[in-house]
Amino acid sequence: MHRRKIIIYSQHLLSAELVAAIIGYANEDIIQCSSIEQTEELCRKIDADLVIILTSSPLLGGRNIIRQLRGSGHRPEIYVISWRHSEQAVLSLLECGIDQYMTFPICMGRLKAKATLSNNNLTRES
Amino acid sequence: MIILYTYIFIILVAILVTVIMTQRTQNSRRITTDKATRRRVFYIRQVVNLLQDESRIPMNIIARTRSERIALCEAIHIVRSHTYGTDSSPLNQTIRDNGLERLLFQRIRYSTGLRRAHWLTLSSCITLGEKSIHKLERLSNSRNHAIRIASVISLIASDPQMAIQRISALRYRLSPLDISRIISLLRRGIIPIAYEPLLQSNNYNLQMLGIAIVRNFGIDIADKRLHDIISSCNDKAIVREAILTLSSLGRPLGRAKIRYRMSNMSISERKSFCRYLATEGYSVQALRTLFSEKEMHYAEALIKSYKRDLVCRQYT
Repeated sequence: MHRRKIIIYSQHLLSAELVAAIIGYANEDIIQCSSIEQTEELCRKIDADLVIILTSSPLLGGRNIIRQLRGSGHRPEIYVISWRHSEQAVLSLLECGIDQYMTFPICMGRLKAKATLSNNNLTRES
Repeated sequence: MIILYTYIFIILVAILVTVIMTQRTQNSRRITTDKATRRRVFYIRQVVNLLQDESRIPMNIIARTRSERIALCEAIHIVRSHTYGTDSSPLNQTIRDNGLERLLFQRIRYSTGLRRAHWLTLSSCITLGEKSIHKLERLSNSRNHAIRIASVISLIASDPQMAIQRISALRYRLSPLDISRIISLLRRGIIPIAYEPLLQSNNYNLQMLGIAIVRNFGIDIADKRLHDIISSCNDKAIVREAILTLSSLGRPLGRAKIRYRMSNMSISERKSFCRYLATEGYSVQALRTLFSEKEMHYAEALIKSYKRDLVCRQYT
């Protein structure tokens, strides 16, 4: 069975751990990164299936992270979960090319369902 | 000469001992922090598993030592403040079995200042008994701002039905930061989003909370109520908040009442309002009705610097 590779980027270890615990370790290899450079490098190296970014500030800072993450031809899904609720920020992020934007506090069931759905899509494609 | 060498030797030994001791202290501190983090991570996984457990088989988390119970409290706080939409009854059982309420209230009793506020914040994520609620009521009138707001948040979280009464009974004004903490409870679904009675209320805290709800949830249909507040309210802070909320909703600001209220603002207030409108995406044309010719130079420079002129909404 194909084990998905998920990268979670957060500067706060406990938030990343919480999201990892919600998605579950059963069928996934979850790797946590504490810097965006590390996330980009790791994404290229291991061909991650899903990248979860737990902040919106690096994406809104002008750096083209999406291109870096999808640079090698591989197209991982990118989810952003942050505390930012403003419509303008959400629209900007979706225009940047992210696949999902969710806000904290997050519904556990919803996040898990989204992650599972992306897994099913991946299985169907392969 | 020998005495000199002895002194130098003693000084060198003293420096060496200090360096070794400092390193040891730093190492032990790091090990303690790592241990605490590992414990929290362990309990976060356990709490999430407990909340997501679909097997309906009773499962319990056991924390044996005091430090483990503290880590469990912190884990529950992290999980509860970041998530919503789960049945919390299994977690309440864990809280009861591990005596977390008693532990937290012991820590609250023996601590002061920000540390006490920290324990109070943790207590907002557990279900409290009547005795604890009485203690929190007493603390909600504390002279320390951090303590009193943490106890108010805890009181609201423990008894959401009484949230409005508790906020209206406060003898002090809540700051925007305090209100944003209450809004975070709202986002977790703890208290209802009934903004209309709040906007109609005469109480400062309730009105500010109502306006904050409208602003945070982008409730467009509330603009009539906001216009009523702008035209009839005597409190400058509430009027200012109502105007800012209207602008964050992207509503037209050219009405005579708004222009009149703005003319009563101080120069610095008008300048800060101008900055706010520029970041909200208002066009130069829309601002021309609100600001004088002199102020418009500043507004124009701001809008151009924010590169908003390409995408800004036109309100004429």
